[in-house]
Amino acid sequence: MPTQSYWQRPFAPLAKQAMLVFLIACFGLQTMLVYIDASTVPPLSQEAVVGRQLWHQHNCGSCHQFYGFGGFLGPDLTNAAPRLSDERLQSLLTEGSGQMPAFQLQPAEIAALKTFLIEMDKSGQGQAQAPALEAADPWTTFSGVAREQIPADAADELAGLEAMGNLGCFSTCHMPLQVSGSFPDLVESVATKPESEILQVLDRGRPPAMPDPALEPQQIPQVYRFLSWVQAHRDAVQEEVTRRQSERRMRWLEVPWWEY
Amino acid sequence: MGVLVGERELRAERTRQYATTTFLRGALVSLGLTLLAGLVAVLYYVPAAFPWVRSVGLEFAQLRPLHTTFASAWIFLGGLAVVHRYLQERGGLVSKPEKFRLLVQVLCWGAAGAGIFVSLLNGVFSGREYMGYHPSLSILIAVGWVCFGWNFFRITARGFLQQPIYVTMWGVGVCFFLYTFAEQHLWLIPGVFEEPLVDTRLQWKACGTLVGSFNLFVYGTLYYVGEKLTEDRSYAQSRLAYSLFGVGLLNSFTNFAHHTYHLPQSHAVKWISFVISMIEIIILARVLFDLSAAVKKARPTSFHATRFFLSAAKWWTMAIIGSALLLSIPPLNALVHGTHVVTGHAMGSEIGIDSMALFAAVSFLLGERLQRRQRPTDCLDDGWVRTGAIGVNVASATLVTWLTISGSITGYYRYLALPAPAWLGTAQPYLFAGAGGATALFLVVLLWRWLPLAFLRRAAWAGDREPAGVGRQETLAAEGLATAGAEAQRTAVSTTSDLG
Repeated sequence: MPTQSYWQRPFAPLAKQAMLVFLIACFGLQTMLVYIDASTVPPLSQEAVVGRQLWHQHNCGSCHQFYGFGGFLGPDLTNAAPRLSDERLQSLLTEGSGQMPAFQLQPAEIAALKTFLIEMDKSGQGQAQAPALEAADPWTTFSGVAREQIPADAADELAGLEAMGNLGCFSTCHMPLQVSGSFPDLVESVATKPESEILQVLDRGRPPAMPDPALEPQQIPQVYRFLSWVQAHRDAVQEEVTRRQSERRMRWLEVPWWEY
Repeated sequence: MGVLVGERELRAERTRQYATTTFLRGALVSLGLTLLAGLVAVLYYVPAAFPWVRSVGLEFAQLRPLHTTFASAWIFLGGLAVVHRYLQERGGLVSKPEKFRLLVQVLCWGAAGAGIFVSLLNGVFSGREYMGYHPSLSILIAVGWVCFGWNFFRITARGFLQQPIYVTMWGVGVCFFLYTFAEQHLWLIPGVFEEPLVDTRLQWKACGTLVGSFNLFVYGTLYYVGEKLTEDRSYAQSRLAYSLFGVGLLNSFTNFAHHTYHLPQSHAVKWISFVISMIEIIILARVLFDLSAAVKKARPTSFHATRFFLSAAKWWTMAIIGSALLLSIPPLNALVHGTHVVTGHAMGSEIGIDSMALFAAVSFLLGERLQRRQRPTDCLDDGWVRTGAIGVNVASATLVTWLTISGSITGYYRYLALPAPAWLGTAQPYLFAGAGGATALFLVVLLWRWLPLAFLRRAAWAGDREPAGVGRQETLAAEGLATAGAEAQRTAVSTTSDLG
C-alpha cells in the first residue's frame, strides 16, 4: 500500500470541528463589527425616503449607481445633485434620454427624488478622484479655458457658456471637442448641420433620444453663438485644454486606500 | 415481505431520481432564461438596437434583474441537482414527511420562479441587486430552502463530521444561505431603509456571503463528481482538501468588505478583509502548481466534455483569483470600483468557474441518465458540444478581458479627471454586446444539445446512432471519465478557495 503524504492523510473529525468553530467565530466577529458600526451620516429626511422608495420602485439601480453599486448603463449619481437643475431633472425624468425611458412622475415625486439625490450627495464621495483635481473634471477644465479665451465683450457667447454649464448638458452628455459614447460633439455639429436644425434641437431636444434641454427662449441663440465661437477657435481652445490635462500624472502614493 | 421492501426501495429510488432530474431541468431552464434576458439586455448597449427592444415593450430595468436572478437560480439549482444525486445513494427509504417536504420545495421554487418572471416583466421590482424581485416572493424561496435543509440534515446529520468534504460544504452552504438570505431583507426594516449607507454595508455583507454559499454547493459538486469518476474516496477526506476549504470559507466570511472599502465604515472591517483576501495567494500558488503539473502531462487526444469543462474551470480559477487579489488591493480598488472591471470579475466567476464546474456536473449527470437507458453517450461529446464548449470559453474570455481593459481605462481617466479616449466610447457598445452575445449564443448551442436529454423520456436523436458504434463510444467515454475524475478532484481543490 503506497504511503500517503501529510496533506493526503485524512483530516481528523476533531480538527474539522475545531476548524468550523474557528470559521464561525471569524464570521461572528466580522458580522458584529459591521452591525455595531455607528453611522456618521444622518438618516434620510421623510421626503428623501419617499424619493428612495421611488428609486427602488422604478429599479433605477439597474442602470445607475450610488458609490459604484448598481448597473453601468448610466452614470453614478452619488454626487449628481449639484449638476442637475430642477428643469434638467424634470426633463430627464419625464422625457427620458437615450437608453433612459420616460417616467410618469408627479411634480411632488420629482421633488422627492431630487431631495434624495441631494442627501446622497451630502453623504460622501462616490468615485475616487486625485486630491488636487477635485475641481478639474473635463467640463470644468474646458469651461475654464473657454471663459478665459472668450473676449469679455462677447456677452452672448459667455451667457451661452453659463446656460449650458448650469443645465449640465455638456458635463453629462455632450462634452465639447470629444465624442462621449453615442452623444455627438455639439461644437462639431455646428459645422456640419444647418443652423435651423441646431436651434430646433436646442429648443425641443430630439425626443425620445434627447430630452428638452429646458433652455429659456433668449438662451437658445446665446448657446448657438457660444458653440459657433468655440468652433471658430477650436484649435486654440483644444491646445490649451490638452496642455492643462497633460500636466496630470498618476501619483500612486496619493490614491486613497479606504474612503475617497 | 422481501418483495415489499424491494418495492419501497424502488419507490425511494424513483423519488430521489425525480428530485435530481427536476433540479437539473430547473437549472437548465434557468440558464436558458438567463441567456434570453442577457441577449436582449445587451442590445441596450448598442445605440442602433435599443429603440427596437424598447418598441417591443422591454426595458433594461426589467431585463437586468431577470438575467441576474435566473443566473443565481442556475447556479444553486445545478448544485442542488448534484446534491440530490448524492442523496440517491445515501438517502435510503423515503418517508412520507420527506416526500412532502420535497414536494413543497419543488412547488415553492416553481411558483417563485414563475412569479419572479411574470412580476419582473410587469415592472414590479424591489430595486435591489441580485434580488430585484418583490420581497414577498422571497418567502417561497426561503420555505423551499428550509424543506431542503431539513431533508438534507435528516440524512446527513448523523456522523456529519465523519463524512467527505462535499457533505460538509453542502451542509455549511444550507445554513449560510438561510442566514445571509434573511440578512438580505433587512432593508425592509424602516430604520435600515432610512440610512442608505448602513443599508449598503449590510447589503454587500449579505450579498458577498450569499455568493459564497452558492459556491459551496458548486464546488462540493466537483469533489463529488471527482469521487464518483475515480472511485477514490480518500481525496475528499484529505487534509489538503479541508485546509483549502477552510481558507476559502474564511475568505467568504470576511472578504465581502473589499466591495465596500470606500464606504464610510469601520476601518477594522476593511483591514480584516484586506489581510484575509491576501491569503488567496496561497490558493493561487496551488492552482499554478496544479496547472503546471497538468500541462506537463500528455494530453488525451479525444474530446471529453466533462474533462474539458473541469480543465477550463481550473484555468478560469487562476485568472479570477488573480483578478480578485488585484481588486482587493485598496488603491487599485479605488480606481476600478464602479467600472466594468467589477462586471468582468463577476461574469468571469459565474461563467468561468461556477458554470464550467456545473457544465461538468450536467455532462456527468446526463451521461448517467443515458447509460441507465442503455443509450450511447457520444452525443455528449459530439461536434456541437465541442463547438459550444470551446466557443463559450473563447467568447467569455474575450468578454471578461474587454470589460477589464475598458473598466481599467475608465477608472484611470476618471481618477485624473481626464476625458476617456474617444475610441473607448465607440468600441464599448460593440465589443461588449458582441462578446456577450457570442457567449450567450455558444451557451445556447450547449443547451440545445442538453435540454432534450434532460426533458425527453426517450431522447430520440440520441438513440439514432448505429448500435455498432456503442462499444467504441463507451470505450472513449470510459477513457474520458477516468481522466475527468482526476481532473475533477484537482479542480475541486483549486476552486474551493474562491468561495467569495
